[in-house]
Amino acid sequence: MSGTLLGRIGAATLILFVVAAVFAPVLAPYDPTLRTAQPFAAPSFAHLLGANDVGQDILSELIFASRLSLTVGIVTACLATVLGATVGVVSGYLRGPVDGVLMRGVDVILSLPFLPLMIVLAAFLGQNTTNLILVIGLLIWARPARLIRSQVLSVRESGHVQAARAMGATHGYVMIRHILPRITPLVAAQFVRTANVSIMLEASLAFLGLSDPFQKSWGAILFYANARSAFLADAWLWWVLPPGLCIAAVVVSFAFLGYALEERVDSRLRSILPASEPQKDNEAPTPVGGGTLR
Amino acid sequence: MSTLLEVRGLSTVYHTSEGPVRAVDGVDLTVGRGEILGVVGESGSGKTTLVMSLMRLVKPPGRILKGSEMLLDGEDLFRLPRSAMPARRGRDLALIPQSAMHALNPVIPVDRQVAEAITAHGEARSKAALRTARDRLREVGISPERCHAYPHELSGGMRQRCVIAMAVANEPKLVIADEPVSGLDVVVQARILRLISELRESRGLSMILVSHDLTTVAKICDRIMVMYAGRIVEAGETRTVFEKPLHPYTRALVEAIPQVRGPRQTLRAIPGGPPDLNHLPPGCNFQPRCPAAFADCKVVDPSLEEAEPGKKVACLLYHEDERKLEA
Amino acid sequence: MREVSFTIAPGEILGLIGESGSGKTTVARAVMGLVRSATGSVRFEGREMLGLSERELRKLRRRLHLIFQDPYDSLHPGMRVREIVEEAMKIHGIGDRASREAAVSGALEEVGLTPSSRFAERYPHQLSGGQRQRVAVARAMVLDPALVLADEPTSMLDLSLRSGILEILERHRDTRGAGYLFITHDLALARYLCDRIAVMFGGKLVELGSTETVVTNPLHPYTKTLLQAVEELAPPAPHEPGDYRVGDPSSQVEECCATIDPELREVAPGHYVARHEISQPVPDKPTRGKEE
Repeated sequence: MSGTLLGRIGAATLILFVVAAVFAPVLAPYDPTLRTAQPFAAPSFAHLLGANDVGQDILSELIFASRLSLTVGIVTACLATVLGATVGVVSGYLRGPVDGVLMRGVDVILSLPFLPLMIVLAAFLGQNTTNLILVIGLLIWARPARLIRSQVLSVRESGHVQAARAMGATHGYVMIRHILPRITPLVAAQFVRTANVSIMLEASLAFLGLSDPFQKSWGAILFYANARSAFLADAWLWWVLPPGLCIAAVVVSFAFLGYALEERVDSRLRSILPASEPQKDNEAPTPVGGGTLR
Repeated sequence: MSTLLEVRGLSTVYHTSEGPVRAVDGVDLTVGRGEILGVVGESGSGKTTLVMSLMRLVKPPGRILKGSEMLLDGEDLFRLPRSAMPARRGRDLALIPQSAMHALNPVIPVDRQVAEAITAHGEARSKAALRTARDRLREVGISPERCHAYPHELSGGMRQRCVIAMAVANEPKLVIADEPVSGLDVVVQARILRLISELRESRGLSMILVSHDLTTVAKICDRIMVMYAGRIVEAGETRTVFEKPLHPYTRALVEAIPQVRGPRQTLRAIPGGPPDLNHLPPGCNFQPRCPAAFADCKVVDPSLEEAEPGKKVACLLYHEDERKLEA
Repeated sequence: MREVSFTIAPGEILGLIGESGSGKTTVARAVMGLVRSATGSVRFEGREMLGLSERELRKLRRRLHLIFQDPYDSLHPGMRVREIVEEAMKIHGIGDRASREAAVSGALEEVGLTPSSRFAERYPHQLSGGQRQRVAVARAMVLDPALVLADEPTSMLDLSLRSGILEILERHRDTRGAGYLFITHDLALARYLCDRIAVMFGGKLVELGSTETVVTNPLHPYTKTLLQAVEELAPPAPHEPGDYRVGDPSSQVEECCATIDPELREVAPGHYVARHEISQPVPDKPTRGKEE
């Protein structure tokens, strides 16, 4: 119950942010690239969150930055989930040498020190958004791949997979028609998780100044705030806190959503498992009440 | 034989999204001292709910209805506060659960598990309990050198023996066995049943043996009750139930047992599927699948009445008066 | 599983009996080519199956079908009954939509799921165990296989529903002449359905013969043990509690098989047994159970 409620709260918050990102030009009071106020202006009715060091409206900046933050988060999550699911399904289903090679690859990626490596890669590849997405995506698919693989290992042993094989289905057919539908809930939960992680990572990288200097994300706003010593001045209240809160809110909503999804995966597993066990029919149901009911 | 257990009007209801469902519906039963009562039922018969009800382990949305009585040695266990039950389980009532693998803790040697069952009731210190545990294990046919084994090191039959040893460890008044041999090989089944029957001889075990399989209960039970859709439809001495089944359902069940000896008759199937407790038919619950059903069966819900001395059946074929009553 | 040899003729039902862990299921999977580590020879319609490429094997699987034990597990929970039964035809690209639909409803009717339209659009979880197993059988029949391997198809079903499934299998054999490998742990059940019985013990075939021979004249100690156990359990015998004993069966078997590993040899026409003290004098070249 609480999982569902949290999920709703998360989803609602996310929708709010997505709407803000999509309608940024309408919602933002100013063009964030233009100088519209005094540098370091304190909040006023004209500029609710004041202005930055060059006199750009921080609120508008914030709204436009949500575009980049969310895009990076979601596109990276798509990339990582597709990659992770593909590797997980192929590896778990085929097993044998393919599995060995793929899983050692996963091991390598999981054992790499994340942040330093990303800093090196981002610096090496050059600071643009596409590179950022690629770098984050290539580093975070490993965990979902591992999780999905373990689920596939159990699904591949189920009777309907064996039955399909026995009917002459190809591996590809079995993977797409029989394995994938069974792991979709897990994949969805993993997608949310990776989105979460990638938003955090993007913010970290941007805060370190490793993002595209021409496109600001929330992390980049923090980078500039830090560079102009806003952390130490009164300005932290309107320059540092809002992007920080935005990041926190999005991350928490993704976490809520993920939590709710995982709970659903669990309950689906629970509802599938007793059915796939021998007990339901002639052997007595498990010693939990309600077993005799269908 | 004096009466050990008397259950009267036991009903257990589950509250489902489609409304309340009576998984056990007004069951009466008695078990004498040293007697083994067999309860046979297929899917949807409510036999597992019956077991859980007798152990008072029914969990919400299930509930034992008020008015149900369970007199063990004259004491109504259903009237005890819930908190008093754990102390009774294992002492007064013991359960042999269906899956021995799940009933045993995989990381503790079996002798210690049996000892734990003993110390749980504070009867003995751990050393003494361990000694008793090994005696109990020897009694069920686990040799002393296998006592320290972990459950996964034992075969299915051995594990079942351990579970039986745990159940009888505290000399309970009544043992309830839920499918004690299902999932075991035939040869092992025969041995486990033999063990149970030996224990009954040596310790005067009283038992309710619940199974979906008529052949399991046939050998060691003194009396058999057949359940269908939460009700007892036939009850009587084991031999008479097999040799002269009265209820059409019982008859069909007996005729569906493949025999390894004698002529190869065709096995008869019962048409239809297990009863849907959410949508029970009007009249007799078995009527839609019954080959002998007649018009009245759709109207009258037969009660369990004595049809012959010592034999009760819930079927209009044997209840002349009920039929007339309705007409 | 060790060495197992047997043949199945078209229209014949061979019962493969054995306790859990005796390798019955592995036999079925090896025949299907699902276990790639099998050695020896599996010939189907005169063609050697072992060593076939995955591709050729897939084509051959059109003519073979495996029915699983657990109808809760063997049907994809997210597919409708129609899709499940249709799947094999789709995999092999047989027929168009209309003809497939006709075949599906035909198969459903054949297994007693009538009217088929009522069941075709349901999901497995909306069916009872017996109905699910019927769907699994319908799926087996829809491609009209020459050989059906049924792995304990009734052991998860209520007794009252078992005979229904058996009837369907038998009728299918009679009308289409399909060969059957019927795997079960229940000797009594096998007696009703099978023409011949093969008994497995410890991954090995220990006895093979016509059903009546094996049941009335079992030669291998394990077969005897099994029969004793079945008889011991079999109702309705006069009931005297505590008064039934048979010799402890396992000791006989272990005694016999622990030291020597006897080969399967023919002791009477068509009756093979793996036991040393029978059929003396020992022939120089023991006759092996038929190849294939």
